[in-house]
Amino acid sequence: MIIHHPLLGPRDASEFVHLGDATLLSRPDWQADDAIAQFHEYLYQRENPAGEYRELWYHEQGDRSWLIITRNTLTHEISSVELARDVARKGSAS
Amino acid sequence: MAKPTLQSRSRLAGFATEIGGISLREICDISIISIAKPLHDHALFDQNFIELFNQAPPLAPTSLRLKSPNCRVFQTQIDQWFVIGETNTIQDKFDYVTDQSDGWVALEISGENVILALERICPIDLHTDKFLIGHFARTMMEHMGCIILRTDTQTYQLFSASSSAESFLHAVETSIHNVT
Repeated sequence: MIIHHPLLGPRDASEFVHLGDATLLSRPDWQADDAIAQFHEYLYQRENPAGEYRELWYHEQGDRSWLIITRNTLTHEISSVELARDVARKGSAS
Repeated sequence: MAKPTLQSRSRLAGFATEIGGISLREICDISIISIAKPLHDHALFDQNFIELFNQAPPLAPTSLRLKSPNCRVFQTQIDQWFVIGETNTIQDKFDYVTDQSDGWVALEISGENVILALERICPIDLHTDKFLIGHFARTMMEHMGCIILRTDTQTYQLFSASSSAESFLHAVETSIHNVT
């Protein structure tokens, strides 16, 4: 599988490590009144879609960047690759 | 009490060989520093960089080769660059500087069939029309992280962790044997 890194171009998937759901970027406020419920949701509840899924990948054997990759879980087709930093700054991880 | 005498020793003791027209040697006495942008003060970093190197920080895959100071600069990750060569005069210019010299081993591989040897272990597209002279990539070979830099038509420099220097050398040397 080839991942088109937004800065470096096409790279082999073996250079990357898969972390999981991109919503992990949106860490709950630990001081919120319902923080325990929010963290339970954050840590344990995952969608398992048959189709497009946004997930975090780490370019460990490369430039050490975190990426958000939109991948179709049925076909493995990758439709979008973004720098996680840019997504986090825009506040659109979920 | 006897006065100790210390001698520097490179990771591969100055290894050099030639196999089937491909030469492979360790680059000794290399100086590497990393410089990084402060999180909230990119403008000052860019200004200092341009003052020193007369150019903006190069972006991957392009490296910057300079005569004064005598060094090469390339981006190793977002907001971080390696300076290889004459580094002692530039360290004061930047806030975030790390001496990386002891952490890396450097090899130079060259020869007519050098790509044949590299393409078996390097996942980067090394086609000469794609990977130009001065281009570099941070990738892996035989599961070891490395940087590959093309310095001439048929010459490449490879940088990998000094802690696994001999394993890295073995991987490259074996690949040369497999194509010659």
